Amino acid sequence: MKINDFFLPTKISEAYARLKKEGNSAWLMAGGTSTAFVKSTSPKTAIDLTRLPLRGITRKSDHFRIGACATVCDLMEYKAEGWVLDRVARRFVNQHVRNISTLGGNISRVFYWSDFPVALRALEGTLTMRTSKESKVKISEAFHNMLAHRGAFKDVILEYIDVPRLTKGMGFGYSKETRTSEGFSTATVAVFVKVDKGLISDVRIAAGSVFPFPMRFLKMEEALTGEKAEVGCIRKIDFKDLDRYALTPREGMTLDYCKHLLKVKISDGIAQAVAEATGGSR
Amino acid sequence: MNKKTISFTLNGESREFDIDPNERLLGLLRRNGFKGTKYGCLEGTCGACTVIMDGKAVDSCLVFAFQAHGRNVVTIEGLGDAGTPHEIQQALIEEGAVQCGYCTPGMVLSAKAMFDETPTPDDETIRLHMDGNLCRCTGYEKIWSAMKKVSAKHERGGKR
Repeated sequence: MKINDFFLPTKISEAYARLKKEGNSAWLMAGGTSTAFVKSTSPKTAIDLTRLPLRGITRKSDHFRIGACATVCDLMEYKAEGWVLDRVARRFVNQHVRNISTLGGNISRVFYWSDFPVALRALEGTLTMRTSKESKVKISEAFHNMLAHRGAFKDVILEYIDVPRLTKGMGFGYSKETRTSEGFSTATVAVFVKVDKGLISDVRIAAGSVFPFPMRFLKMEEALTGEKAEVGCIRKIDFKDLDRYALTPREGMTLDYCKHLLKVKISDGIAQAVAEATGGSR
Repeated sequence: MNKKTISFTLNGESREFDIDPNERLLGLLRRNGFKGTKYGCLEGTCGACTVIMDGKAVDSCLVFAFQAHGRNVVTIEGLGDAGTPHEIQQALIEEGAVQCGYCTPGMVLSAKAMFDETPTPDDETIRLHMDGNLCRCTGYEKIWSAMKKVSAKHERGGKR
């Protein structure tokens, strides 16, 4: 993709005004590391959002509010009780890319290998976006709308991402497979579990890389809900359910290998999440 | 071509550059004589083109030149030289951690960003900060030893 002009706004209103002015030739950019992977024949005007005041991470009562321009390194280094995105950040490419890639960038233009959209589908984050007025959208709705625009937000600036703060009885599991330490993911799974009186009261299982867009496994979630919160609960899942999905194996994997890998990653993710939710080590 | 002018601090000096908006920082630096910043994979994997931008090691092949506007950039030319090597360069020499040398400028800059932030890094910190630099000659053992040597020097209160 060719950039033929750039704009460096310092206010969100300036960025939004320029976005409206440029229309289809606008290219919203935060870290910009994925630009090389975007195929577009028409030249674009880059609107670099990194000078906007959208970088901090704030702890609220039941969630964390993350500025869309927080880098992956910021997410990795942030420490607070109930914070889990550092686990996703640690598995993200390498330090150089973590230093410049942003959370907003990773979820505003979803590639099949993107890590954070998978985690946010499991955590059910909320996005605050600037359109003609500020609006809040659940991550699932936002991604649903994105699909209509080839995996990218259109005519909006993502400002904040809210993710739940995990408390007692909640657990998060994250399992990602790569060919090399820096390779693109071949399968990524994120699991959120809530346990009440020893039973799983809420569970969300999301996967990416094996799909063009992150998906939830609703039948598997249904099978686990109400079950005893122990690692053996995995036996309640009918993995034949994977046959219903149009999986897209990566890097020369066969479909069978892809299904097997996904089964392992899902099991790992559930085991980690259940262990954490029940007070064990993850 | 739609030429634009940007300015940033490069190795401690305020500089202005005319750029093509599509140009990467790597290309800008090299055509202005900063050739210690190496061409490598051009996709953010090898770290040969590492520079420090606002205190963080980044791949200059992934950064558009305009993203550096107003920032503080350090290249390998901003550190020591053959006569007066930086302490990281000195440690690499002493440990025999340089063979072909192509990856070395990137290694040094990643290490500098790490030591500036964490003067005595633990093993996990070294692994995380250096995971963006590939070396095809040394097998990393001697590079690792050099990092530990610098860390030990800081631990003893040595000059940074």
